[in-house]
Order: sequence, then C-alpha cells, then structure tokens
Amino acid sequence: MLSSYLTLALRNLLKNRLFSAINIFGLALSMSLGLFILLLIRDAYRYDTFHPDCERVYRINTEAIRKNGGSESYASSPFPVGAALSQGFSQVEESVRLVRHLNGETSGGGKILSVAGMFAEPSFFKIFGFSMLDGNAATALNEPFSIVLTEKSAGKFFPHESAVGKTLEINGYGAFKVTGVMAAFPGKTHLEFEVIASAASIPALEKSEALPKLSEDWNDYYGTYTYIRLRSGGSAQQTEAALAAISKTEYANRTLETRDAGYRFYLQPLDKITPGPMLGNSMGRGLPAMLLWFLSALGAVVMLSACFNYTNLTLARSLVRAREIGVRKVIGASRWQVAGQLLGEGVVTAMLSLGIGWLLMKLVQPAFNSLSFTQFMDVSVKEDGMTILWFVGFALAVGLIAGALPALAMSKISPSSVLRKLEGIRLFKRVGLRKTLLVTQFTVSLVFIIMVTVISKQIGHVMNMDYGFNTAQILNVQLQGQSPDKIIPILSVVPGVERISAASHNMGTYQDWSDDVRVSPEAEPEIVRDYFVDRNFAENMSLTFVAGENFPANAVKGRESFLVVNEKFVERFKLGSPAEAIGKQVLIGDSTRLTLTGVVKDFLFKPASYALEPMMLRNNPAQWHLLNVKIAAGDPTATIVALQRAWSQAVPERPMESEFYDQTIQAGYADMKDILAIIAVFGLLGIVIATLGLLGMATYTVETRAKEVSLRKVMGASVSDLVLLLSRKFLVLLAVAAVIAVPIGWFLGSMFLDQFAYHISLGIGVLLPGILLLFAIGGLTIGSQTMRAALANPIKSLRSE
Amino acid sequence: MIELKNIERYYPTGSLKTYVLRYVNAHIAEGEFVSIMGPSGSGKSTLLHILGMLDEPTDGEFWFLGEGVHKFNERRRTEMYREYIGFVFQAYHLIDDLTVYENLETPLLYKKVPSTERKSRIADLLDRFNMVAKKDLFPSQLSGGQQQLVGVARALIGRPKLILADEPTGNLQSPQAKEIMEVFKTLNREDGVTIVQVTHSEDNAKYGNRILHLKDGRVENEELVKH
Repeated sequence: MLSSYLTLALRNLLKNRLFSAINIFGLALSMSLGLFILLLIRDAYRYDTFHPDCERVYRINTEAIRKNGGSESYASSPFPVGAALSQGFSQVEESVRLVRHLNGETSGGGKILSVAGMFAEPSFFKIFGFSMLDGNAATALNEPFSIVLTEKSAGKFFPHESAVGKTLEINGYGAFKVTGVMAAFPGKTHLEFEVIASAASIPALEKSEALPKLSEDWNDYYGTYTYIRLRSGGSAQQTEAALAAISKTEYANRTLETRDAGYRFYLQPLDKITPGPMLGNSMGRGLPAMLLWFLSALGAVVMLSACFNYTNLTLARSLVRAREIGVRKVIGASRWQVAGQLLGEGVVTAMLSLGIGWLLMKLVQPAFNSLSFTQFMDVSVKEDGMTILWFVGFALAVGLIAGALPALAMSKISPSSVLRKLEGIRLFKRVGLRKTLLVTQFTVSLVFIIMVTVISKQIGHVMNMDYGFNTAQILNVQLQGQSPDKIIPILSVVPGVERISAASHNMGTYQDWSDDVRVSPEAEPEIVRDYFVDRNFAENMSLTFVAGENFPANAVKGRESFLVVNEKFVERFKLGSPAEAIGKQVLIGDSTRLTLTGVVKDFLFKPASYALEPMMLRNNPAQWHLLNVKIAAGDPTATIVALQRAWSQAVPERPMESEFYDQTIQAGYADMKDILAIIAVFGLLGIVIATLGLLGMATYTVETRAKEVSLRKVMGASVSDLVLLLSRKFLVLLAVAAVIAVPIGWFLGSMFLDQFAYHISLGIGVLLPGILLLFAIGGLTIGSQTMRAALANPIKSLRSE
Repeated sequence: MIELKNIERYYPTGSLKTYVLRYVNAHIAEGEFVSIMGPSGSGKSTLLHILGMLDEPTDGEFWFLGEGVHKFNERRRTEMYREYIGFVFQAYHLIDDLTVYENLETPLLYKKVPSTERKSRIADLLDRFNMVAKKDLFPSQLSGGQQQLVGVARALIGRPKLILADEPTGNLQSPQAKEIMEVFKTLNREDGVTIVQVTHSEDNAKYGNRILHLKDGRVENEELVKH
C-alpha cells in the first residue's frame, strides 16, 4: 500500500510540474532555513554535557533585590557563600569557587601576550570533566602561585617545549609556576578561561592589593562563581532553603550596597546554563535562549507560509481530482485510505524539498560559519547521524502539516462524484479557507517588510543622529596600560595631530562607569554615570560651557578635586541655575569631595536607547585608558601611519590599537544590524514564498476560466477588461492583507522603537513603501498570468472543448 | 438479493417536486441479469445509482441481501463496495496515473488482500481478458474497448456478487460492445454473478434474462427475455 502511495505521489508531482515546482521550491527555501535553525538549536544544547554526574552539579546564582522593588540576577555569588554552605549543610559533596579578575599582560617563553583566566580551588578538576595532558590534576592547584594552562595557551607561550615547570609572569600579579596543561576540552563549555591559577594564591594577592579583598566580603557578589555538586539523592530545594538561611543570618547586620535591599541565592543546573536566561556577569558565549526562540518563531512563520502554499494549491486542484477520489471510493477505499494517500503526497513533496533544502543550506553554511557574529557566539553548525534523523523527522512533520487540510477535506468527497460532470462539482464552497491562507501569507510578508523598513530607518537615524559632541576626525588610541604621561608627548608631536585628550572610556557606547553621588552628607546617594577625562577633552569634543569653566590647568596631579557636570545634573540635584551651581561641593562615594567648576550644555553621551541623564566629567589621570587624538583634515591615513610608528618606538612589544570614534559608536549598533539582517532574510523568504503561492493560484484561476475568458473576448471584451476581471479578486485579497498588516506592523514597530529614547516617528512615510512594494510584487505576479490569458487566441480554448 | 419497495426520488424545484422515480417496486434475485431500459430522463440512471448506493431514495425502502440500505453508514457502504458490488462505467473511470496492472491491484490493496494472492488474481484476470501484454500500459495508451475491458476486470477483481453497469458499451464501437456483452453473459452464466445494467440498446438488453422498462420514473412494464 505504502509503495503504491509513493509511486502515485511521484507520478502526480511529475504530471503537474508547475505546481510541484512551486511547492517544492517554496518548501525547500524555508526548509533550508529550518534545518539551519535546527542545527543552531542542537549546537546550543551541546554545552557542558561532558562533566561527571552533570545532573547533580549546580551554580549558585545571586538575585540582588533592589531597593526600588526590582531585582537583577547574577551568575556570580559572594566568595564566602560556598564555604558557609559546605560547612553547615551535609548534602554538598564537592564545591569549587572560581574567582574572576585574573587578566593582564603575561610574559613567558620569551613572549608577551594578554591572558584572561580565573583562580580556582583544587576541586575544580573533581567537579568539571577537564582532563590533564601534562601534570597531575589532583595536585596542580594545591600550591600558591601555581597555574594550569589550556592546550591552546600552552601552545602560544611554549610552542615547542613542555610548559610544565616553566614560569609565567602576569603583570600586576606576580610569577606563577606552570603545574599542568589541560587536554583539549571534550565538548563545549560555558566556562571561559585561558589559564587557571590556584586559589591558594588569593590571600597573598589580597594583601598586595592585586586583588580586591573578596574572600571575606559578603557584599561583593560580582567576583566569584560558586559551583557545587550535591550527593546523589541530594535535593536542590533543600539546598536553596539552606542558602536562604545563610542569606538571612549573614545579611542581618550588614550594610548592603546602596541600591540593594537583600540577596537571594538560587541554584542553576550546570547543563541549563547555556542556553539559559540572561544573567549579569554571565560566562560563556553561545546563543541566548531568547534569540533561539526568536529565530525558531520566525522560522516557523516562514515554514508555515510554505506549507500554506502546498495546502492552497492542492485544495485548488481538488476539483480536478474529485473524480479520481470518487472512483477510489467506489472500488472500496475508505475515507482514511484516501486521506493516507493525500498525506503521503504531502510527505513525498516534503522529502524532495528536504533534499533541495539541505543542498541550499550547504551552500550558505560556509558563509554563515565565517560571520563575525557566529565566531563571537561560538556557534558551529555541524551535522552528525542524530541531526539527519532530526531533519527527516522535521520534513515528515512539514509534510503532514502541509497535507493535513487537503487530506481532511478531499477524503470527504463522496463516491457519487464519480458520476457528475466536473463543472457540476462544487466541492469547496469554502473558498474562504484558501483566501484566508493567501491573506495570511501576505499579511506576514508585509509585517516583515514594515519591520525591515522601521529598523533600517531607525539605524540610519541613530547613525546620523547629532549626539551633540564632536566625533569627526577623532582617532581613539588605547593606552594598553601605558602611562599617559609617557604616550601623550610622543604622539602629540606627530605631524597632523591637532590635539590629544584622555578619557576613561568612550561616550556614545554601552560602556558604563558610575558612582554614588550626594550633595550633602545626610542625603540618600544617587547613581550618576561618569567619565574620567582631562582638560583637553571638552575642547576636543566641542562641548559648550553654559557656566563656569574647565578643570583648572594647575590642578594637582594625583589628587582629584574638580568636577564638570551637565545641565541635567544641576537640575536633578537642585543646585539652582548653572551659574549658581559653580563652586558647590559634591560628595562622591564615601570619601571623595569635589568642587564643581563648570556646567556643560546637555548632550547625548549614551546610545540612542538611553534618555538624557545627569553626567559627570571627572579629572583623575589614574582612570585614563584611552586617548582621543584629533587629526587635522588632509591625509589622515598618513597621520595614522606616523602615529603607529611613533607608538611602536615607544612600546615595541605591542602594536597600537586605534579606531575612529564614529566607528566605535556605530559598532554599538551591530546587534541591531544583525537583527535587521535576520528579519530581512526571513522577510525575503516570506515574500518569495507568498509570491510563489500567488503565482500558483493566479495560474490556476486563469486555467480554469480560460473558456469563459475566450467567450468574453469573442463577445468583444477588451484586454484590459479581462485583466481586470481576472485580477480583481486577488487585488482585493492584497488590500485585505494590507489592512490587517499595517496595524500589526505599526504595533511591533512602535514596540521596537520604544526601546529608543531617540527614534523616528512611525508615519505614513515608513509604512507606505512596504505597502507599495507588496502591491507591485503582487500586481506583477497576477498580471503576468491574467495578461497571458487575455492575450491568448480565443479559438484555442474554445476549440478544445 | 435486491428488494425495492415504493422507491421515490424527487428534487424540490421551488414549491413543486420534480419526480425522477415514482413508486418503483422491484425484486432482483441472485444470479439474475437484469437490463434497465427507457428513454432519456426516464430515471434509469438514477435507479442504478440508488442500487449502487451512490444516491439515496427520498422515500421508500431498499433492502440489499436482507439488510436495509437506508441504515448504512459510510463504513458499511465501503464494505459493500469491497465485498459485494463492482461498478462498470460508461466512461470507464480508470485511474489515469496507474497502469493496467495497478488499476486492477488498487481494489485489492484497499481490501488488504495479501501480496501473493493479489498477484495470482490479477494474473488470472489478465489472462482471461487477453491483456497480459498490456499490463504495464497506462489507460491513455489503450483503445476504448480495451479500457472498458480493464474496467470490467477491475469490477470483477474483488469477486463481487453484484455488478452494476451504467451504459457499459455507450462509448464503444459495436464489435467491441459485443465483446463486453459476451463477457457479461459468461460471468452471469458460468460464475453466477448478478448483473444489473442500464442500456439504450435493445440488442444489449437481450443478453440479460429480464428487462425493466422505465418511463417518467415508473416501471412501465417488465419483459422476460426468451433465449
């Protein structure tokens, strides 16, 4: 029976080449995307599956409950919490603490490289499934100042020799002895490190102030990750209760961070970390679960649209097939046997599409794998035996979904339809269903078009937005730990350099520095963003002073005492008029008292998603990390080359790192561009599929009405009369789609734009191009078919009767 | 085998009823070969469709093998088609996408007849109708008479007790028509298959043992054929 369904399905596909091509091509297009998403999902769930007894390992996360009622969750936890739990609670079998903060210029093997890593207790190798290539995992992390390298980092420092026993000098931390080299990881992990140093080094480093004092600090929930493994039979719930008890006793008499009201510790299973919810301080790249959902949802929409094409065209052709089905019933087919046959046709179509879709995916896969975003997210789509099963299952599901409606409807056809003339059969008075499917497809397409328009216009808007500070001709040069006193004199003599200012970090980006601010000791502190800059900064950025002046030229080096703020700051802290604010004292943190010397005109110092806020410019050279080099108009390339030469003479071991300010700001919108690209790809597919469906329906309509068209032509109808006659219904459907899509697009568009404090207005100018495009594409598709019918020689279709 | 009591079939046209069949009473015994004749519009096709359960009487009773057909649901009707009734149509109604062999196999697939038995039954019939060489051809590659032979073979493959034929030779030249009618006659005489056919042709009607003459929806008279 099955093989008979298969041969029949194949013969049917061959017989109706146009419809088959539309169906298979549309399904293949959307399937290639679907397969891709399947691979992404599979890749995303491959994290941290190689650790022993993985299901009993958890990370202790911190939910910081804010005074304002909200809360924020962190992947990190206070250093002492792990030890407190192990002491008082017997269900913990093993625990390990990983301390961040290990990074810096590292020299070893005659090389200087930047290295990032963590400190870990010896139990690291008991909890995680990493194995040693060289060295002893049981003892490698026992002694202070021992360090274990990954295979990759060992290869960087000591490419031709064994690393064990060698020394790495990490700038600011001291010398570490290499006690082991880890084998390549057996799988993907969320843990990010190049080196692991022994936690036994922490006390000495705290003493030398290379590390903040975190081992006793219950308030620092940023710097440590705590992982525990419960005994078999241990309960996560009881562990969380024990953690709640710890939190209650420990924080009872402690002064918390300004914004915090309390902390709740909770467990996150190791294998649920990636993909998982977004957390503060989270390690591990991987695709966030949200993005996976977003992609899957878009993929499902496009996939369904392609299924609709199949459903629609098959239903449309049901008229032709009614007699065949009648015959089958009369020779003994039950309803379910007929339905099975029709479903089989759907599945065969889907399987053919799977083949083509797979090839299409193969074509784009290399391009995708080389995208910067893919590299950053550590995504690698690979196939294995399992994914092939997934693919086939996916295609099977698609075939069943696409074939379900036709199977259900057409299997109802009564055996008596064998007796009737074809024209007499009115099978589907419910043409409404087909119209609905078509309208849905075009609605979805138009929503996609509108979203693409909105997002790209908004990107254009923020790119060209006037932030109110000057970024033109400014090259940002990273200090890379070098003293500004040394670098500034060297770079400022380079020809073509107009002016150099120093800053802690870039404005117009998501980088954030802030401090607690009070204007009187008894007031509640408020958090205000700040930038540490020098005297030249205001001029370099073309900031305008509305009152007061810049930092004094003779400010004492090394002691911070002056402050410049924006107008919003004066307003928020009720310092009167800008002029009245000059000379006022401002308390920052617990101990810093600054005198307000100037007020600058408000300007946008954060990306467009932020509303204008108070801001401080502070004068503390210790915090400078980059230089803003203003380059004279003329030949910037030559100036940059000269700058690089000057830099490499002063700092031979490291190349200069620089970027124009405009590029820095635009890089902040890279996510948005990625989203735009994704939606555009899905939208394009959606339109192609919907158009194919429309083409099929139009062709079908024209074919079935060929005789009527010929008769009308013989009776004197003009070509335009006929085109209008045949097209009218489709144009109405397009109009209905537009009427539905515009509010949806408007709603989604405003939701997107609401995330920006500065955004375009969503008017007719944004919506209209999409609508016109839809009608242009739709009109062309319909017109191509109706014109053909209207121009055909009437004799042809009349004679064949 | 078939018992018709006061069968009526009408369509409402406005406030009037247009009768196609009125007070049709008939009894057809197993093993009979009955021809239904009558002018166009006399209701003979409708009567055959009712017998074939493709149409339902508006009024009256239809008993088939002692069961009331009016009580049949879709499943029971499918069973009837599988086990008891075979159809032969004027327009053959073979499935265009299937070869001769596959057209014959399909009813058996629906009946879930095991593969070896399917093969032997089809081989038998192909042999009997001299169509072995044509088994891999598609219907469009056959002449009308050949197509109708396949149609008859398909009707027979399920070994029905009753064959309903709607002008089986209507589209055929007379030599081919004669061939089909001979097949019917042999089936009736030698295999004991009950046959009911609708026909325009006196000659064809005479192949049967009884003729029902219909006019304006009533049975005008019955005629026994003398051989």
